Amino acid sequence: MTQRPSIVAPGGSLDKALVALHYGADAVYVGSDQFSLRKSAHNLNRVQLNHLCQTAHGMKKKVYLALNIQAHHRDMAGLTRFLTDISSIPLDACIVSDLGILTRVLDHTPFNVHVSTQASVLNTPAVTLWQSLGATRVVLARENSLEEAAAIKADTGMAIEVFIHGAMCSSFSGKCTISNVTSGRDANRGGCVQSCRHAYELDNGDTHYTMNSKDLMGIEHIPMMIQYGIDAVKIEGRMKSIFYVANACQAYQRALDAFINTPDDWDNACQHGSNQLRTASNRGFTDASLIQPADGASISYDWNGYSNSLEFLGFVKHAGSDRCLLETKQPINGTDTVMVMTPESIHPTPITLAFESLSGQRMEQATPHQHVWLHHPLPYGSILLK
Amino acid sequence: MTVLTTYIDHPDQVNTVSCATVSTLIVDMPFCSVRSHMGHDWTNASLRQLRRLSQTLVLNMDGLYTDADLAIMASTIRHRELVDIFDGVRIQDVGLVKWVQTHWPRQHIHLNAETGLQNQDSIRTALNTGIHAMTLNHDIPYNEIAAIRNAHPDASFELYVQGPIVIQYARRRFLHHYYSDDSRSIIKRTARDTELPGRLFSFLDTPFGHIMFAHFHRSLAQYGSKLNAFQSLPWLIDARGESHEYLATALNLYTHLFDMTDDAIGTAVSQLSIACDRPQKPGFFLSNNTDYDWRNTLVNPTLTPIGRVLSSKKGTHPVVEFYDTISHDATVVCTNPDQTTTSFSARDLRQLDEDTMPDSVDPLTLYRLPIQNRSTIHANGRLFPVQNEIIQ
Repeated sequence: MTQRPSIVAPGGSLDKALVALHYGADAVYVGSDQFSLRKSAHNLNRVQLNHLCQTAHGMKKKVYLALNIQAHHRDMAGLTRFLTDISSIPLDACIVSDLGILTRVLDHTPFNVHVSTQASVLNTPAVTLWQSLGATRVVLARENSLEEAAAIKADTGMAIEVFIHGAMCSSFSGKCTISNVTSGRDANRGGCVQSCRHAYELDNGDTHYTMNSKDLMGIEHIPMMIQYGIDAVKIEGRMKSIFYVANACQAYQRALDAFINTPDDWDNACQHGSNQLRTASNRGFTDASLIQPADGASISYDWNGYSNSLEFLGFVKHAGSDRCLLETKQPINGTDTVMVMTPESIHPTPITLAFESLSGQRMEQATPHQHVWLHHPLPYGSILLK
Repeated sequence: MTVLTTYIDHPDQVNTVSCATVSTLIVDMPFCSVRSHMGHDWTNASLRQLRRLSQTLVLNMDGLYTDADLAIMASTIRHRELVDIFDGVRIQDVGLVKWVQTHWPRQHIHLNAETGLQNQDSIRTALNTGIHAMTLNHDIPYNEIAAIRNAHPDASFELYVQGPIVIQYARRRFLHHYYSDDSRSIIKRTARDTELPGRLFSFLDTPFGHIMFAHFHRSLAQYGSKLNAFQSLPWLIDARGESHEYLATALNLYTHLFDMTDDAIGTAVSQLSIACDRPQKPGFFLSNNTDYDWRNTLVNPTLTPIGRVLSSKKGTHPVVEFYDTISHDATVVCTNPDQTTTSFSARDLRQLDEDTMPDSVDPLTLYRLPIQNRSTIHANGRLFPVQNEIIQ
């Protein structure tokens, strides 16, 4: 029987994690309010983590906690207490990149340990080392090809996860400290200011976005990932919108299922998925090093903007029988016709809006970051777009 | 007498190095050294001559390699009979310890600073893998270096005292991809970040990838009172890509540092600055407060929030959620992002879709707060208990 790689999706907040699970993710990776690499995300506290684990397990899905900073010694002071505190939460694994955090997690919790791409593991001896130290899965460096990943898996027996989608570090992950010396923010402790997106003026007079990587999109290589027995594919983006997360999870879940269930129609399914992925905010796409080492085509030398064809207006945070609670992200007019994406919908479908305030007053317009009643019986996680 | 280690990547530097007392000489070779500025391929005869310049001759294998890279490196080492020429290797990838032990069983294995180990636990774990020594990471300040040495009294550490700081290492060759068709080319550029005017960064593009250097050189010579505690450590000087004057000045400065006057040290540091056209700074040697002073300043760290304000707009009710069950008698304080505070009673809460008080206030459930003065509760406010009350 063909093994389908599991989809590991970003949960930058409790809502993003729950939406990811509803849209097809098999697992979500989330940050805690400490020791995670995305300080600006709405990381989860203990209660939220526990709730997420209970919900995910009820859906037969998994939750991984990212503890993937490269810790200073003083960061370690609270680590044992933190780990003891969360050890009763039914997490499925912790993701680490620091050798010291790895040993503390194994010493103080019952959790499996996955090695983060931040550790930049890209060869068999390195995988063997982490395996010998107790790790059960390695998220390989994004510089590895799928063929190399398959060979490492065959040589070591280690569960292998590869990135399939999202923004890319231009450098080896974990090997960039530009933010540290230019901005006083530690790139490997959650403070990256993304200097690689800046324009650089060279001494030959040229100015371009020298290191500005396009985003990874690996959907067309799903057949190879399945053939090689890749255990999991990861979507980047804990800082991205709920729409981005939902859209990527849905596109990749459908593409994976399509290749396994109806391989003869793979070309159409791949094209549909690719088109869907382009609707959410992106910096242009590359397949990076999945097949060949990434070259100049993976860099946007002359542009550092975003493109998208659908704009995220809001999402349904609470479902009801005849109305639902909408959390807005953009201004919305009550008379607009907008598109709705749900976990079950094939394409976004149009609806005409009618909403009112929580105190029951009819509203003509909702402002961003507001909660309003929407008079449609939409399921949790439905997303409004235009 | 200080013990010095330095790099050599071209025969032109031999005379300069031979005039100094260098304990360990690190050799860059183009088949494995990612930061070789010159790409010079030493013959075995010339390598044997280098051995006479120092007690120890070490091969720099400072990259992150794929299995294919490692196969080529192992083959080259075997084919060129390099095993008996070098005394040790320097690696960045701690995963290569077993690989080195397999291919080069007697070699001394040294971890480079770029490995990124910054806490005692990770250093202890790395030491247990079989390495013999390591260069301490540039981000570790002197007081933590002292603590690390106390915690690992038998371990061999090295301190990087002078030279450029690598702040990025990529496999992609950003300059080669744009400018060159020759994959063997080495491209060097000075670059200004257009969003950080006035700073000159260095880009180095080699067949192994792209390396970016900080806008200053690390230079610890003027911090003798702190360096004093680390006199017994080998000191590492990196002058690759710099002039003979830079290398000679650095070697002389650190060899005689504790015999020199402050003025003489200052003069030498100025010469280094002119020679490399970069400021000379201690980097994080004196302190490292990255990310300790710019986040979470709005939150009282001694209190754990019990909930948050999801939204608050004029003309509608704020929406809140709690992380735990709270009592109806509880008084809750909202700390807004602008640090203003206001309090309300849990009895004020209403069900989201009914105008009734909830039977119990449950975790991760949304509630409305129909308070009179909504301007006092802001979105993203954090909710705290009033002390000596509530939380079950």
